[in-house]
Amino acid sequence: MIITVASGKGGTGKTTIATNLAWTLAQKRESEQESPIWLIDCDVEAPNAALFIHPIFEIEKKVERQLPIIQQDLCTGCGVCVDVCEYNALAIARGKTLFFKDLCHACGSCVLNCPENAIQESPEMIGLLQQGNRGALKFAQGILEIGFSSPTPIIRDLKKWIIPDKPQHESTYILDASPGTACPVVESLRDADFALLVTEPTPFGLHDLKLVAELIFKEFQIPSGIVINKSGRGDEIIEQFASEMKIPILMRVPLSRDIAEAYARGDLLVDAFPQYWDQFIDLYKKISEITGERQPKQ
Amino acid sequence: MKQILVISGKGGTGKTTIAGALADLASREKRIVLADADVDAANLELLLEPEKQETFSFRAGKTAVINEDMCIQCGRCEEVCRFEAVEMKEDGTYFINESMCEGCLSCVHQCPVDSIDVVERKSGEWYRSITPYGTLFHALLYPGEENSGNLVTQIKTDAKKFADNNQADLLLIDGPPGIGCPVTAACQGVDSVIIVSEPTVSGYHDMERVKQVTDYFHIPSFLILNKYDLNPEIREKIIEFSNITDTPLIGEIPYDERIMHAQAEGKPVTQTLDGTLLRYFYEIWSETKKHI
Amino acid sequence: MNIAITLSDNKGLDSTLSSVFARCPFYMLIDPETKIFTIEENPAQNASGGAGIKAAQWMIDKEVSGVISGSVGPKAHDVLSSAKIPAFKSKGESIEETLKAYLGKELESFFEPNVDAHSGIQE
Repeated sequence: MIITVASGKGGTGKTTIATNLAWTLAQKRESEQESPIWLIDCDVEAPNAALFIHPIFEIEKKVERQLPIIQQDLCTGCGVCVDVCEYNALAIARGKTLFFKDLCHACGSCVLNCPENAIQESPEMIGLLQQGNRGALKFAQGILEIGFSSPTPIIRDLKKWIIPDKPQHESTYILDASPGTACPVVESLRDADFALLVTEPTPFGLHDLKLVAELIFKEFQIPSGIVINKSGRGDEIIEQFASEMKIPILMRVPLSRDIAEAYARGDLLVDAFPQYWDQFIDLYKKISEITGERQPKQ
Repeated sequence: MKQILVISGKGGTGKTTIAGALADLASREKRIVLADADVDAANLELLLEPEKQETFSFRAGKTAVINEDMCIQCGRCEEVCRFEAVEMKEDGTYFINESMCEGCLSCVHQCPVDSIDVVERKSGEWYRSITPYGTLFHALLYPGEENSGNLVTQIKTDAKKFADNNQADLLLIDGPPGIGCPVTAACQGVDSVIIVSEPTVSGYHDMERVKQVTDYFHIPSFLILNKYDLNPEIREKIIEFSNITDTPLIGEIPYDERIMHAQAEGKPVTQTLDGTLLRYFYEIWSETKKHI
Repeated sequence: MNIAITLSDNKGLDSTLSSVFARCPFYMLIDPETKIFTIEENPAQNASGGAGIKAAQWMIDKEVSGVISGSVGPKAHDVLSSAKIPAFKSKGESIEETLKAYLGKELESFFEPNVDAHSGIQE
């Protein structure tokens, strides 16, 4: 099963929920000798799940794309490549071609259209994938190289690397998506079985929850559930939306200074407050019931 | 007319809360115009009770579309497309999956019979609204759409023009998160930037990165520390950063649940908070005034 | 030789100076001596990315001898400096004022046009 943890708004506690859910399940499964849990950090622009998990990385893999190399001796400065590049990654100044690799989408159009065949390609690293573990928890993340602006291919490769084409029934993959509702989030939700939406009970939280719920409704039609973080006063606005949209509220984490302090230090919630342990087990049980998967053994 | 941009790097630091409070306090003394440049998650409008006056559609990005009548099913488009966007139907004809198409138009240039058209996609809308605090320019970017840097520029350009025409004193901009293209677009032409940070591990890291952007454009920047009492050690580090990088700390706000609850009213917190907490926001505004 | 001035509207010599280079709506191409000018729409204004590069390429194609704007982004900087087109920070409120300052060599330069760009170049 693939569970993608998303939130329209940044700073709602998406990483907190993803890391604690994964960590709790991994501990439980280890003791019951079941298949492992994967936590995959898909927020490749700002991956920070590792700050809470402290994994030991064992394998790395480069993400490469074919980027153009202009052979200046063959280039006549005709400018066709500049015209066909939809991303404005090329310019010609004083007969010399300038290439801005951070804008390049590696589409290959300049190569195909150069009348002099003066453009070749060579692989360039645009990101790095890492996998490892902390104890029973398997962990993977992608990191976008500084200077490149397209996170989506990194997420695509990261998912291909970790998740087999036909995931085994008992494997669970928890994906921590980036904030917002743009392309990277779409990519993180593709092929997911369940979307766990983390929100906070403020007008901001509600507004952005609506956007991400709309995205899921339009593009994916997968079941989803809500976690209210910083819960307490104001929960009604989320409750009302949830009941209108028929999205169940699966868990609440109260607004509390102690929790905020633990987060500031980089502590896991279930380590700082063991009473949350059962709540995360329960959260997973509810998700399993909704997706119709078999429940964890009692 | 001065332009102030509020940014944070990381989401959830309270950037919009502070922008809303500044909008309220500034509007009591000056003629202001507001712009919400956080187009991916436009939240400022939730505090300002806007009434839409004008709506504009935002078109950006392109998609290739195969004209079935002209297509000879040679498969060249599928061959050149690197984004797996060209798919074959059961009857052997090709079509382009819009959600995968990156708009590179490689297929358009390579099609031997010119059967592929280019369509612009409507990616969102932007609005001019009136609010009790001043005119607000804000936008809605459709989910799954990119090009937000472009939309940021459109909003800012319109807001600036409107502010100039109406002899406004101040254009206050709620900026986008991150440090990417939308932030670069938001920085253009502003007189000063307010960076909202918090004393958490990730908050510190993101503040450093945002500062690099403002330095690049030589824009004077100022720091506000939200939830300052959450972690004394990281707060110390941030104060040190403020001194070393010449980024004056112009205000601190404590962690207080009443501030979060105050948001529920759908108004700037300065409208609903009481005395002791209000003081922090007044201080920020009076410091901000000194620097503009 | 014409220089280019970034504008936020199109009102002839009374147009408003724009503080942005890549995404301003109009450019004035003007001969600073004779004041003969044309105003053209900026083809890069609505580019989804790389607007600075596209706008700078347009300047090269138009063979301008200088650019005056409120700011110049990093990529436009690279292209303009590779083409050895100097860019200056606009001064004052009007085209007249900024042109006067340009002719008096009082405008601050965004970069040394003779220095090669620091990045983006593929040798």
